[in-house]
Amino acid sequence: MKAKKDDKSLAQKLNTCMDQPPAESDAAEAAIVEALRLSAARIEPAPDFVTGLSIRLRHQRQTRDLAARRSTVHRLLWAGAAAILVASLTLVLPHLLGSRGLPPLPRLAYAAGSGPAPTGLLAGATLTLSAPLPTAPKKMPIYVAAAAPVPATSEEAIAWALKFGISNPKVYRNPGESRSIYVLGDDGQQLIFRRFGPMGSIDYSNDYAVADAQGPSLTFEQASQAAVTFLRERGLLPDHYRTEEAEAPGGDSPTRAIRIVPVLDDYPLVGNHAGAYVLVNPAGQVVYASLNPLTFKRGQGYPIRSAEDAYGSLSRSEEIGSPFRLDVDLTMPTTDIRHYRPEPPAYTPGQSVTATGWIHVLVAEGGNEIRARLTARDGTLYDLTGPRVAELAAPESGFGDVRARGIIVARTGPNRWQMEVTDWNFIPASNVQPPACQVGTFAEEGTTAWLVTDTEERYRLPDAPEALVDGERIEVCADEWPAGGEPVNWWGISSPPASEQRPVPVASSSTIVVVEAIETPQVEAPFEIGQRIELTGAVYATLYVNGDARRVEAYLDKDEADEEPPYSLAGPTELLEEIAQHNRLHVRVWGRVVPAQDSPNGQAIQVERFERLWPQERLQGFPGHVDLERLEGREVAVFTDHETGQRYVLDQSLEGYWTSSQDPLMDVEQAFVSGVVHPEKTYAGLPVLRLVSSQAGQETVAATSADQFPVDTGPQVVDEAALLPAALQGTFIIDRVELAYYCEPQPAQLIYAQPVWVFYGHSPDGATHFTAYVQAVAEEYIESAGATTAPIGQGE
Amino acid sequence: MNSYPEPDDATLIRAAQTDPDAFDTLYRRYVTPIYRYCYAHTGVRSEAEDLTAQTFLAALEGLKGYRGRGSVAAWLFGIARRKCADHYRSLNTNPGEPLETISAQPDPSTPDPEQGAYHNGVLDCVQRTLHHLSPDRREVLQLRFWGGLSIREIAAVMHRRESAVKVLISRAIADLRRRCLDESEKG
Repeated sequence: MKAKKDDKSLAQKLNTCMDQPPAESDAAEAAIVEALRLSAARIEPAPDFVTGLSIRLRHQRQTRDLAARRSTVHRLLWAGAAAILVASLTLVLPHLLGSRGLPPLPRLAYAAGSGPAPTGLLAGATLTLSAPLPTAPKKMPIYVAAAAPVPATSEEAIAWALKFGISNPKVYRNPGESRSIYVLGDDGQQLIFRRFGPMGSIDYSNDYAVADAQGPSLTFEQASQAAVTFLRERGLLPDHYRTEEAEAPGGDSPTRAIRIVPVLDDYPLVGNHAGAYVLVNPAGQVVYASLNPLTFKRGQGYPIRSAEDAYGSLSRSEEIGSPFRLDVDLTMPTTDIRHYRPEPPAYTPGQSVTATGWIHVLVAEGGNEIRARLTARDGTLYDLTGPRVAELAAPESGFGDVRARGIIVARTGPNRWQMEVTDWNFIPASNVQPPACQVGTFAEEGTTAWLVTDTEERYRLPDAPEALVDGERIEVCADEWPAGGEPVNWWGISSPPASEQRPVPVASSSTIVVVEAIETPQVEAPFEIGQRIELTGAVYATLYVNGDARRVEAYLDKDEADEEPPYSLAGPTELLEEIAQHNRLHVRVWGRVVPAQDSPNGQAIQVERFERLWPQERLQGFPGHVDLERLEGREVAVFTDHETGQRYVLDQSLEGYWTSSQDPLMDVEQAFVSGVVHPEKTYAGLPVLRLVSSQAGQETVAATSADQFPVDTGPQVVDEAALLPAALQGTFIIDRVELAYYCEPQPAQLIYAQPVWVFYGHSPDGATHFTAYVQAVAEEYIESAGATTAPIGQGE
Repeated sequence: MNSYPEPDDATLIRAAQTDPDAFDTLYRRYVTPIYRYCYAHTGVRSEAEDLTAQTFLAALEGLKGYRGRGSVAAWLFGIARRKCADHYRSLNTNPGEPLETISAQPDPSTPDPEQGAYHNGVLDCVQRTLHHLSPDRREVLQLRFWGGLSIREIAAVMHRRESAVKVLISRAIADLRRRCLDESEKG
């Protein structure tokens, strides 16, 4: 066997291979990695959810920590902010306003979310230009943006509210969001002023106008005019602007979304938070508006790349000058699954109601008035009233989900009700159960509809969709499943059952995403090809089944060889299947080293024979718990089997792959784990258990025996038939190109608006649309990619 | 580009023991990758939101037990991973199959940033194929690309060696390549 002198080098190369962007991998791998990155990057949590959960976490925290201290972190941030601001004023402005040459501009980085940049999607793709390339000026000024004032005091907030025409405005505070100011009128209008570091945001909404939203949508021109008038009357319209159609929430909603885009020097300002987003209902009323007000100070002019030059970089996918941002809009493949939501509840005043959901509480400043709104899972809103509402704002009450019981007072919106609370209780977060969906057959008996599950349980479905027919196979989702014929409060039905459907392959393809061939990293092989070897280690195996065809992918993971990658095993399928039956257990193999293209090191062991290293070794399950203990001078995780009292040291904690006290298993009274007890390895006199899987929850806490949790032995089995190839062909068409200013306000960064080329494109079938952004300032005036970031002007 | 001196995770999590703002900063730092990871598991927005909320609520509960060692990301993703696993158990569902339930429909109250889905081609294929990979290969990709974790952090979350994680990623990408590129080229 070859000495392990190159192990470290091998590990480093593997690290490089895995940790670096696809530019260092081969073309095919790069395309896959890029697709994975793009898949991840397109997923963003909804802003409302992020804010709502933040508020919820703060409330939760308040219940645990009534004496909250002032933020050391914010002191740090603000001290840093102040330092940067001073540095900026000292260093940036002289350069921007002076004539000492042009300092390099920041190189724009991917700004949407925290995921990796999806650069390279267009690399090698066939691009067709169907729009004229505009002429660029030789120079364009950059702009330094600053946050426009947003109310910071109650008095300022009230003044703004009056400017907005809010009737009898009153200031409220959210107990968990101390830096935000809410102003609510008695006419359904609301303003929220939030501050994020140097930035501020304004959100306006008009609930009563939403309630009146009926009839056909306005035209784009009508809605634009309404949005412009609304902002102008409130002093929020930029000096120069253009209006664009934006995506309205709700799909079929008659509400029209307009984006007011500020224009600087005849060029639009683009970026996630540029401009204002306004929703206009069919009556011409603004029902929602959101903006991050900014002011811009003009700086020095910078030489601009031509559109031809930028397009050349884009089409050739040059590393320098390629898109720093790529937004892709993809069309959902159609499926035959029908989805149904329940009709919004239709209550009558005086009706008793129980509603469960999360709650939003506002406390009037300087008074005792409390406004509480409960958002139920089905989207119904309940404005809670009555003397008991005050209890909901008490910090010691906690902030889990709430189940409120009360009497309906009035309807206050299309799916919004005023409820006088008679009783309520918090549902601790730990008791909030995920939704449960059940599959079965839809059955009609007279006027009563039922779900008959595959295990013959029957659940009554009130207000079942009329389109469902007797005998139809359905899936029903609900929070609770009452027995005894009580109606199920379902919130979703799909037919055929969504969870039983495989992803639907979509027909012909016309999109090409081919990445140019690039250098493949060479990982040094541990052995010589043809070398005969004998190896021991634990088997990791996957069995792929495709009809009658079967194949096994297996490798051997050596003990105590952290930097040594597992060895790929090759050989006749029958032999590998036999080895796979000992998945996770130790074997000794004899074989010969052969080339293997798929293996990271280009080699595999052609197995000729094998044997179990320890016949008594087996994968088994244990109910128990984990403690951290200090044994032989180091802290290790110790698992105690509740059935036998036997204690084991967890192998992963010995190897450093244990998140110590933070591991989720640490919090559990009783978990169920499966693992393999090493037949020979001990630590501090205790046997060593290699954890394979674990689960924890109410069912494991209540379990009394390991038999209640079956252990999956043998290889992982994958249905290969479900793996569908897809075609790759076609082109992207660039249909519009324009010069714009890009500005992405970030709480932790100086705000610049600098020129960018924006390329709009689509696939020929129209299924894919993209927008690519390329920095427009000439490359020599942009910081080098690896440069230490510094304020403009320090580079001189 | 200039940055304020943002506190690192270790500083934040120590401060979070007593300071709600610190936990909020930590939350803002990780909410997107945790959400992405949960979404990659469920394929359903409302469920991803539920699981994300459960993850951070559990993290908040577990804050006092945090001893300031190990990666915060690994800790959070360890919680998220367990929440996802428990979720599947409660549904008695194969985690490989994304649930296209009713809640996948856009929330009418907010613009849906995830609206739209896969186009034909490699992206479509990768998305489809991902759910049919072996569980451990799928998991490493979800942690790596959706969660944005480093190899070492994935190793900590999965209780596997770094070298094993690298091979899993390599194998998973090879699976996807074989399905989404090689076979189509043959065809």
